[in-house]
Amino acid sequence: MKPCARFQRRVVCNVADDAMSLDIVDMDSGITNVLLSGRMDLQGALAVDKQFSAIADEKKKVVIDLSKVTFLASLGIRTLIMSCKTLASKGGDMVLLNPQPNVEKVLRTSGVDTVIKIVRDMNTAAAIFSR
Amino acid sequence: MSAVHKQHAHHSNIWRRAFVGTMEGISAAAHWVDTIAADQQLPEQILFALQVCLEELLTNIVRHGGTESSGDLSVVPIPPLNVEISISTGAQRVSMTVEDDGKPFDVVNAPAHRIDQPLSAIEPGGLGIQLIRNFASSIKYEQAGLGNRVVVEFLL
Repeated sequence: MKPCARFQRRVVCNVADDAMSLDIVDMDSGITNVLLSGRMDLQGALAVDKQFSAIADEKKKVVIDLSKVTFLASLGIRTLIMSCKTLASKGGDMVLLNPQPNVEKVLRTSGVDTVIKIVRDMNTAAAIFSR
Repeated sequence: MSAVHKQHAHHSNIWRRAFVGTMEGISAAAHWVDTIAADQQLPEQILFALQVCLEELLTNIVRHGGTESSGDLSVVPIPPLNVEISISTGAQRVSMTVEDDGKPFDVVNAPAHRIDQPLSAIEPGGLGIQLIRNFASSIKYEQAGLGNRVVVEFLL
């Protein structure tokens, strides 16, 4: 039987009409799973920018689940990078989980994968945080 | 009169439409391109590449095309700039032309950046141009039409 994901706190934000939604789950493992859905374009990046800043300030081990992100533009990348910089500056880290092929191409074309790990499953993400 | 035009010539279709350089204008342009792609049954990868180039070109226009560049993502020039987009589809390629009446900006010769340094040293900027150059098969710039004219092509 598939185990239920355990979590301490869950926050769901519908940050714009059709741009993006953000689902934040604090897991018992100490990992914060941020499930993004929608288009991470200019409007989408603006919609989630403040939430990302807050996550970077408050959390330490952050997984960004990109499986439901259908589009990623440079300003969305900027949001990811700036949050990861904040996390790294206080000993934290960020991992990108399961991007769709086109979104992964954007990440690799821009070189994001050289500074933020891209993984396929949560176990691999957890292993990165435990190093 | 509608700002939308569709023309048929020599086995290619051409669509043309005017937009304003605002966030709403960018969203409207993205929806418009989606509609054309669906009508033409363009491959998903071509549509994605079109959308990447469109988004990055329009974001540059909205953020930097005014008399003063703004680092604030939500600030747009007032009054907003004028943008005209045309898309042409043929048997072997899709072409998109984006014109604007903002400051001259040569996207072909502007510096592009790929992240290739440690995280702590990364400064934002230039990633959009890197994406345009990688997702388009070719890119051309000239001062024509409304002011700036960029033509990006995608091979089918």
